This record gives sequence, structure tokens and C-alpha cells, in this order.
Amino acid sequence: MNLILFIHQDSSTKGAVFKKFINHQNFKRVEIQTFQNFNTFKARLEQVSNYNKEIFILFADSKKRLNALTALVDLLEGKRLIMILPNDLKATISIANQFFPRYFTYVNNTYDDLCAVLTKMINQTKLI
Amino acid sequence: MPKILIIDDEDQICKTLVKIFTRMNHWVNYSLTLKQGIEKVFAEEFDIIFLDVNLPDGNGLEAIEVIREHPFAPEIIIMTGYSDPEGAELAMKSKAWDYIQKSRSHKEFKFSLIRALEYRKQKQSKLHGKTIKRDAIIGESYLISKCLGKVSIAASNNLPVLIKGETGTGKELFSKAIHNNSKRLFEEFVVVDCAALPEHLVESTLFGHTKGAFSSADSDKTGLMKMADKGTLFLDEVGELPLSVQKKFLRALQEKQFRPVGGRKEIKSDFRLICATHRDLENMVKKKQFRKDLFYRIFSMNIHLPPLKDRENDIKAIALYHLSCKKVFAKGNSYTMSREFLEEIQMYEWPGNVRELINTIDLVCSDAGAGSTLFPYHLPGHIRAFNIRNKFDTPKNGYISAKFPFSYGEKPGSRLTFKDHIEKTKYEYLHDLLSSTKGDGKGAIKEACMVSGLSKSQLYRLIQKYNL
Repeated sequence: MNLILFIHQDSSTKGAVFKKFINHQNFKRVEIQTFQNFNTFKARLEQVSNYNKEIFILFADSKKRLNALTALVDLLEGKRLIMILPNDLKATISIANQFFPRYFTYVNNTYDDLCAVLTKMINQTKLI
Repeated sequence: MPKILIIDDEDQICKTLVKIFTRMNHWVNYSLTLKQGIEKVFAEEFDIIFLDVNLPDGNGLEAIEVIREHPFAPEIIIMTGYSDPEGAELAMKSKAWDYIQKSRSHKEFKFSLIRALEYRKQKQSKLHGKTIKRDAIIGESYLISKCLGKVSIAASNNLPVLIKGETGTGKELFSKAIHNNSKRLFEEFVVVDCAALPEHLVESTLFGHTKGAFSSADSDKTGLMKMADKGTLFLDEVGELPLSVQKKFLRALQEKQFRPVGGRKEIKSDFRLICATHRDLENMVKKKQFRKDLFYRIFSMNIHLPPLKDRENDIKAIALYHLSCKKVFAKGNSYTMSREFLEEIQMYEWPGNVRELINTIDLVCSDAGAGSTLFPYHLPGHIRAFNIRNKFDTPKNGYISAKFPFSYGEKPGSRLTFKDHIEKTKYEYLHDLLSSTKGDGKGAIKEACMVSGLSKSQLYRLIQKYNL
């Protein structure tokens, strides 16, 4: 089971905090892969994928970053996706909806709810 | 096969009509009360309803309007025990297809039914003929065309839709197709994955919450139902929606307004609901794991996506389409499928359906290298092993006992078992059928299907089974 994080290298300290949070969860039998720039992440998306064994998390700490991610919408189609958005403005959510995420939350929230969702998704994957 | 429903309180009449219509090769069901009948109308997709006027729990004529609200609007034939010109007039005004007295002969019932079915066929071909944007829905099989016809109907109205199907059959793709062909196209399409949300998060995620509603609610949060205002709300794996939330959700669905968790004010949202599930909701209703009222609300219009193994003729089209998409990503390096590769992928059962097929093709392409021709050798071991096992299970190798067919060693005068006799008859029928329809490959198959009444996939399966 792979947990694939996209946290851009230029993200604010919040990106580092999020990465640390995920690493501290100690999900069993889960390999965490982190991508920090668009090119390497795009290359990963072009690789052979397995829906049942992958969950993607996109960390978009600014609207600019979210807009840049839309270039990868086609490659992300049909993948299990969680998004972390910069704010809850209607325009931001509207962009996020183009990705059809299974769940989304915001940069300023605590990640407890996200963790609960992720745990459930990972446990389901193990059942498949 | 056309579906007929008879709603009449006289058991004997129902049973007689069931017998007559079943002989005409129709699927027939009946109800002795109006309430039960209406429930059946909304739980199934009937083509024709024979509706009695005087029922113990209501007047059939008054139910016409309710039945016509069904998205597939079955044709209604009113029947009554005695002459009633006013009732007949009302029935015709309500656009019932026909008005028939129960005392009339069977022939008249049959005639009215045949005519109603002819009309319905015409009406449906017009509806299904409407062009829709298919997005990435690939295939021309009868089953998938039927589903696309339903997408077309669903896109033209605002009723809730339930999409059923095994995992990987494309439930989300179909729900997007409904949205993209509807008037809500330019509004939001909001996904709610009921299977991913823990129970304690479902309510606040759907309805939103106000600041202080619970310990971790440090600000107001808009729910997904509000975000889907004027657009489409897609509830994936609706069977996982907790019972505790279903009642509130049903109310929101009916009234298009709801109260966020901890909120005092009602919020309005005009969303269109599409649900998907791989579970048997009817069974869940029986076991009281899913609310009956919510089930009937979302089940009125349903699309059952077939598993890939039931539309094997689409496998080639899906594979080709996916390879053409890969060409774009692989910067022009196209892949070619060998004939043997195609045969192998058509033979496999694909328990993970379209998603598994696409994943496999990705894997095979990566293994073969850009610009290669794909051979069975490139397929994952478990698929090749399955196919090999299947090939050994053909009649020559014991699927049917050694006596079958004659040339396989039956001694003259010996008696076949009942099972072998049936198999032998089937073999001979198919052999004759295929011998008498010789032409070019596709033409012969088409003719054989027409003559036998078998679908293409059934015929291909039998040809494979009997090694013809």
C-alpha cells in the first residue's frame, strides 16, 4: 500500500508540519512516498498505477499551487485522492472539485479528521 | 424482454393474465393492491401496467398520474369489470394507452398489449437516439448501449439516480456522464465517498456545522450538500451511509433544505442526487440495514452497469481506446495488440472489471516497452494461468463426460445420461445453426443470433464452450 504525498518544496512550514504529522501516524504496511516538485510528481503519475494500492494526498497551500496542480488533472483521474486546500472560498473549492477528491480539508485545520478518513481508506484497502 | 405488471385485486384474473403474457415471452408480475403495485412500479422498470380501477385500497384511475411520474413512464392499460364511460374518458384524458373490459377475450388483451409495446418501442428508440457526450465510456454492446440510453433519460430530468454495479464497472464515470449531459453541466459535481468517511464525520461533512457545534468545531464549515447547490451531489457507496444520518438526509432530499450540525437556520440547496453502490440495497432494506423510504426515493431510476465479462465484445474497444490514450502520454510511441493477445484478454473474466483491464494494459505496456507489439507472454501470470485452465475445461477435456459428443467415444446403443443428452442436443443445434449460416464471419454470427434469439456474447460463449 502506497501513500503518495505531493508537498511542494516551496510550501510554507505548514507543508513540513503536515509531512511530519503523516510520518508520525505509523500506518502499518504503508509506504509513504513524497514528491516535492511537479516534474517528479508527473513522472510518478505516468507510471503504472494500482487503484487499490494507492492513495494520493495533494497539499496545496496556496491558490497558485492549486492552479498549477490542475495541469495534472488528467493524470490524477480515477485515483483515490485527498486534498488539502489553502482556504474554504467557493472559488477554491470549485477548482478542487475538478479533481473529484474523496475527501478534502484545509491547511489551517487540524489533521485529526483527515487522519480518521485516511485510516478508514487504508483499512478498506487491506480488505480488498 | 418486456416487463409487464398487473395491478388487480382478483387473484384469478392476475394468474390468467400472467399465464397468457408469459407464453408471449414477457416477464410478468402482479399485485393485488394499489399500494403494493405502486411500490413495484417504482422498484422495477416496467414497460406496461395493466391497472384495475376499483382496488381495495384506492382508485386505479387516480394512480395514473403517480405512475406517469416514473422516469420510464410505463404505458398504462386500464381494465375494469363493468362498463364505465366516465372512467374511460378520464383514463384517455390521463393518457392511458387503452381501456379494456375484463370480460373481453384473451385475444383483445393480447392485441392491446402488442400495440402498446409497438408504440413503446418507437418512443424509446427516439429517446435512445438522442446523442450524448459519452466521455470515456467505451463500448457498443447491447448492455452498455442500454445503460447509455438511461443516462440520456437521466440527464433530461432531475430525479435521483442509483447506479449499481460491481467494483470497477465505471459507476463514477456514468454519474459524471449524467451530470455532463444535464442542464447542471456548468455547476459543481461534488463527490461524497460514504465508504471513506468515519461515522462521526458523515453528518458534519454532508450538512456542515456551526462554530462550537462540537468540541473540535472551531469555525463554521459549509457542508458538501450546500456546495452542490444547483449542481450534482454524487454519493459513492451509498450503502455505507450510516442509518443515523439516513433520516436527516431523506428529509434534505425531499425538501431541499436542511440544518447544519449545531445550526438553527435552515439552509436551502437545490442539488441533484446520484448514488452509487456495489451492494444489494434491497437485501439491506430487508435486513433493516438501509431505510426503506430512502431506498424507494433513490431507486426510482436505476442503472445497472454490467460486469465486463458480460460484454466481452467491448473489451477490444476499451483496450484500443486506452492504448490510444497511452500513445499521447508516451509521446507518439504506439502499441499494437497481437491477435493472440486480444483473444487472451477476451477470454479472461476480469473480476475487477474495466479498472482491472486498464491497470493490466498499463502494466503490460510498461513491461513490453514503448512502441511494442503486445503478446500473451506480456500478460500477468494469474491471467494466463486462468485462461490455460479454462482451455483445459473445454468439452474435449472432460467438461462434459467422455461420451459427449458421439465422436468422443460413445458406443452404439448405449444410453446417454440426461445431462449429456441435453448437452448433445445443444451441440447439435449450434452445429446446425453455424453450418446453415455460413458467410463472412460477422454476417454469419449476426444471422445466427437472429435465427437463434441468442445474444452475440451468449453465442460466442457457447461456440467456445463446445469448441465449434
